[in-house]
This record gives sequence, C-alpha cells and structure tokens, in this order.
Amino acid sequence: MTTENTVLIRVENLQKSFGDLHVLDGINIDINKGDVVVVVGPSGSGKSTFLRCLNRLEESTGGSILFDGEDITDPKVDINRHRRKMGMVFQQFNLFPHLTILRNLTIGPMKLLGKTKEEAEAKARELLTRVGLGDRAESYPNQLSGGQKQRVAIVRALCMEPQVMLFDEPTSALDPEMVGEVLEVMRELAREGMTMVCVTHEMGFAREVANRVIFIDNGVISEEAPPAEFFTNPKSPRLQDFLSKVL
Amino acid sequence: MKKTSDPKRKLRLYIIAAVVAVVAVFLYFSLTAGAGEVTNKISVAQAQEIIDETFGSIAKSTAKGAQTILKNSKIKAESVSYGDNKDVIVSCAYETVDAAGVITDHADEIMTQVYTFYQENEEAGKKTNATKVNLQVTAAIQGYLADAKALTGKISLTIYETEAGMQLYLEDSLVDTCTGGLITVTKAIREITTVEYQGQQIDITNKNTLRTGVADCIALENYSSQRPDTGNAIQRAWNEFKDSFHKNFIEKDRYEYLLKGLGTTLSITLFAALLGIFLGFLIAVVRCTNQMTGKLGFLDGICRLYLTVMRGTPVMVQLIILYFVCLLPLNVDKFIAAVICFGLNSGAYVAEIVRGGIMSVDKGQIEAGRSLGFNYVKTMVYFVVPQAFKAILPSLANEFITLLKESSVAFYIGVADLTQGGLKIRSVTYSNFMPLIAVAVIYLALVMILTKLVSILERRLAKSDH
Repeated sequence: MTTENTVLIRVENLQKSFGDLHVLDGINIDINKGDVVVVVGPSGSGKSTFLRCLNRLEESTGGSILFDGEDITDPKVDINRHRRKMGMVFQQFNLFPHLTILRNLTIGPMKLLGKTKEEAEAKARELLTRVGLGDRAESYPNQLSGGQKQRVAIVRALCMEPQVMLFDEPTSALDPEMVGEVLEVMRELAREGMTMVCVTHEMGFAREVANRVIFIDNGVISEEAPPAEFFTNPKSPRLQDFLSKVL
Repeated sequence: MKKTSDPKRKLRLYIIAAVVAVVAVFLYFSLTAGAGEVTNKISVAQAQEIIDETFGSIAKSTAKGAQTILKNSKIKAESVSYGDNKDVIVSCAYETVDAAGVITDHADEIMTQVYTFYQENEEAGKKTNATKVNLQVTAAIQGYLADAKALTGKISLTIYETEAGMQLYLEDSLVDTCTGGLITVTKAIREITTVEYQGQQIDITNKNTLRTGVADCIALENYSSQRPDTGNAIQRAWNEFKDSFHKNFIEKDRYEYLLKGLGTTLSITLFAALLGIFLGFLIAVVRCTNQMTGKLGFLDGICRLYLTVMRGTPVMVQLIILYFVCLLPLNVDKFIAAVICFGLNSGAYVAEIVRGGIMSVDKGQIEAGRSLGFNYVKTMVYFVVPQAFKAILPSLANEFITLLKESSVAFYIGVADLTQGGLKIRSVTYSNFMPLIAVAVIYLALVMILTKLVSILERRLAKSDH
C-alpha cells in the first residue's frame, strides 16, 4: 500500500458528451506511479469511456489529461508517442488475426520503438513464457482459447514497455473457467509494481489487488476509497445499492 | 486434410471416365445410324439450289485449276434420281468457257510470266518450287478465261446426305471432259523451250520442274473427287471438323485474328483493371473516411452520384456514349476509349467491394493498432488493409473476370479484340460454329486460368484461418 507520490496521470474536469448526452461530467483524479486503480460502476455510467479517454481512443470534449506532465488532450500533441507508453487491453482482445502470435507481439516494438527483430523476439518470447504460452509463438490467434488470447493481448501491450496499463473489462468476454488465468497474470503484474487502471466487474480482484477503487456514476467519480473501506463501508446510498447487486 | 481428398479425387476421375465413355458410345451410334436409305427427297429446284450454293465454294480437295474451270461454269440441274445409299443423282447440263483454247493460245505468254516470276524469286534469294509457280500461273490464266468462248456438255452429280447437310460430289465425267480438253494445253506448254526474259531468249529446257509443274496444274492432275465415305460417320465428322478447323484457322493464317484479338482483349482488361483499382481505392477511401468521420461530405456526394450512374447503366451504353459522344470528336484512339470506359465502369464496382472490405474489418483492429501507437495510415497499412484484402479477394477477382468478359462489347466501337477476331473469321469463311466456339473456348480458358490463380493466392492468404 505504499504509494510513491509521483503523479503519472492527472485528470482534471474531464468531460465527454455525445450531442446532448453527457457521458463524463467532470472527472478529477490523480493516478500515481504504482497505483492499481479499479474502476467500477453500473453499466452506462461512463467508466469505459473514461478509460478510453485516457489514451484518446475517445476524444474528450472538455477538461485536460496530464500524462507525464504533458496535456495530451491538446490537439497539437503527438498522441501516438504517448500511446506507446500506455498499454491497453480490450474486452474483445483485438489481436491481429492475420499475424502469428510472435508477430502480434513484435510488430509494435519493431515498427515503433526501432527494436531489431532479435531484441523484439527475445523480449516477446520471454514474456510469453512467463504467462505460460511459450510454445504458442508460431500459432495464429484463432488457434487459441479466449483466456490464452487475452494473455497474449496483455503481453502485446507489455512488449511496448508501457508506463501504465489500461484494462477495459479484460475478463468480460471470457468463459468463466478462463477468467482465473487472466486475473493471475494481472495480479502478477500488479505485484511487480505496474501502474494499472482497470475497468472490471471482478470485485474479488478489486478487493485483493487494487489499492484504490473508484465508483463512477452518472459521469462523475462519486466515491473513491481503498478496497477494504470501499467494500465494507460504502458511504453513498447509490454505491450501497450497486454493491448489494454485484456482490 | 490433403491426404483424405485423394480417394475422393480418384472417385471423381472414375466418374468422369464413365461419363466420357457413355458420351462416346452415344455419339458413335448416333453418327453411324445415318447410313441407309435416302430419307430426305428433293426436287429439281432444290437440287439446283444446292448446286448453286456448293459451286460457290467447291471442296478444297479440288485443285486450283479445277476451281478456275468450275468458277467459269454454269451448271443446271435437269433431273433427279435416287440411289440406294442416301445419295441423290442429279443429271446436269453444264456450260463452261473454253479454257483449253485460251490457254493454248497464250501458252508462251504464260511461260514467260512464270519464268520471270521464278527468276526474280531466285535472284531475291527466295527458293521457289513448281507448286508455288503453279498458283501464280493459275491467277494469270484467270484473266484470259474471263472473255473466252463457251463450251457445253453433260455431267452427272451425286449429292450425298451427310450429318452436316447435303454434300456434293462430282462424277468423274466432268473432270474427264475438262482434262481431255486440256491435254493439248499440257502438250503446248511442254513444247515451249525458250522464253524471253529481259530482252534475251532463255532456254528453259532444263527447268523441268518448272515446266512440269505448270503443265500438271493446268492438266488438273491434282483433281480428286472422292465419293464421301458414308460408312463411317465418325471418320466423316472428324474429317469435316478437320476441314473446318483448317479453313477457319490455318488457311491464310486466320488464327492471327484470334491471337491479335486475344492480345488486345488482355491489354484492355489489364489497363482497365489498373484504372479500376486506382479509381476504386480512391472512391473507397473517400467513402470510408466519410462514413467513419463524417468529413468529405461533398466528395462523397460526387462519388455516390458516380457509382449510381456507372452501376445503373449498361456498360455497352456507356461505351458507345463515351466513344461516339465524348471521345470520337477529340480523335481519341478506340483502344484507349475502351480502356477508359471499362476502367471507369470497373472502378465503380471495385470501389464498393473495397469499401465493403474495409468496413468489414472489426473496428477493434483499428483501436488495437492505434492504442499501440500506430498512426491512422500505418494502422490501415499493417492491420486493416491486409485483412480487408483477404476478405475482398474473391469478389475482386470476380470483378476482373467479369471485366474480361465484358470487354467483349468493345467490338462495337471497332476495337479488334478477341470477339471481333472471331467475327472477322466468320465473315470471311461463312462458318459459324468454328470461329465462335473458338472465341468462347478462349474466354473460358482465360477465366479458368484466372480463377485457378486466385484460388492459389486465396489458399496462401488463408493460412491464418485454421
């Protein structure tokens, strides 16, 4: 629970609206290095949108996001440079089906970070072995199970050596028996001190791994607390209601 | 996977072999069943029609000399009787020009011409044999024959009913008559020993080949009038096929019409396909960008109008409008006009195929690429387009196969493509079957080759799909 007090991402009054619909209505949060932030909330509350705004997969309509001290909502900023430092894992894995696993993992480092093939492949194989998929490097994504795909997707993000990992409901598309293997990888990652922002419905994971849990409702962070307090002593009636349904 | 298909392939082979055998047996019986009694009785008037028709193009087995005589003959059917082997015997009166007299009168003139021709060829280093000389002589004789005196006689013709229709067969009496008259000509030519060449009297006694060749030709010794073999229908059909093939493709190198046409068709298709791909991708990019970001609305409108017009009107109409209305006044070459027209047309279809392909790639792929830090263009290049390409490859290939076939309407503005090659041969030989089927077979072969190539490419691209 020791948080170094260096702010990695500072979100100030972040807004996002689709026409008249205000999905995010002023989000403020500082994410420190080493934080494991779990974002929960009812569906439609804007938690995924919030996560996707962090690397500008969704363009915010107001407020600012400071990443590494630079406002990345500024249209003049080269967002591609920042995205390389923010790994993202999707609900639907989004592996590249026409490339082998190894190529999925190395194309980013080789094309964007200027690594040689040998460097990139060595790193990829090492990480693959660590998630228990060392023998699948030459396979294609469609030959893997959902859990295996998601582990590869996490490795793909890690190969870029990111400063922060964003998880967008990483276990929601998995069969129940495969959830465990993916969470195990994420747990391991948290233990190594990776900064993580994770939108999930896995309350057990939140309770065990997170150091901060935030509850987004109606486009604002309506409650934030360490997990112990968050789950045992929710303050707002809205959160009490939510927890009573999901726990 | 591959192993299990082997017995299947074997089975397929057996089936094909069985089908071929059945068809062959059926063909044999249907073709040989023809021999027998005369079934189709004809009148004198009909016999006359057949004679008129057939004498226009006497059988190839007839030597050149005989053709010349026959061309200058009028043959009138007088009575019809029936033989017992599907044959009709027509008694005819003929009236033919006095070929013998004309040739005898001009024998030394002919020999001089022949010698000149022969000598000039030799000096030019061309090897000339007597047969070649013969043809030359016959052409010269034709002129003299035109205003010669007539000579009449009686002949008997036999018409055989064959699978292909009525076949005319000359009784030897005609040949005998002609030959009899021309024996003296042969003699006359053989008696000529000197000709005048470049002001000099040249002795041609030693040029045996030359003189014999000319004489032989005029004496119609090559004339063969064989009774059609009614016993073996397959043999006959095969001979007819060979004759027709020879007449339509080999004679006067007529196959070159098809060969050159094929080249034109392929180049039209290739260039039109390139233009189509370029236009298609351009339009697809505009339309996809509009669809995904809402930008480029004006251009998108233009593209949509273009697609509507191009896909809503027949390509034939587009071609004649483009050529006769727009390009002909600018003196644009027909070939280029065809390329532009088919390119514009194909572009419209390619555009929709490409757009469909790009839009069919999961949006998650773009997000995955972008989230790694690839920019929009690189994401498209590395992740979206390869997947889209695989998805659209069959439709794209089909589009180009369609283009290849559609290019056949180019003959309408006078482009000498494959179709027009076939039509040209048809207009010279008056055969329908051979040239038109040949055109179809060539198109079919091209399409099959293209299809095979595409399936190989597809299999290679499908590696990531198992």
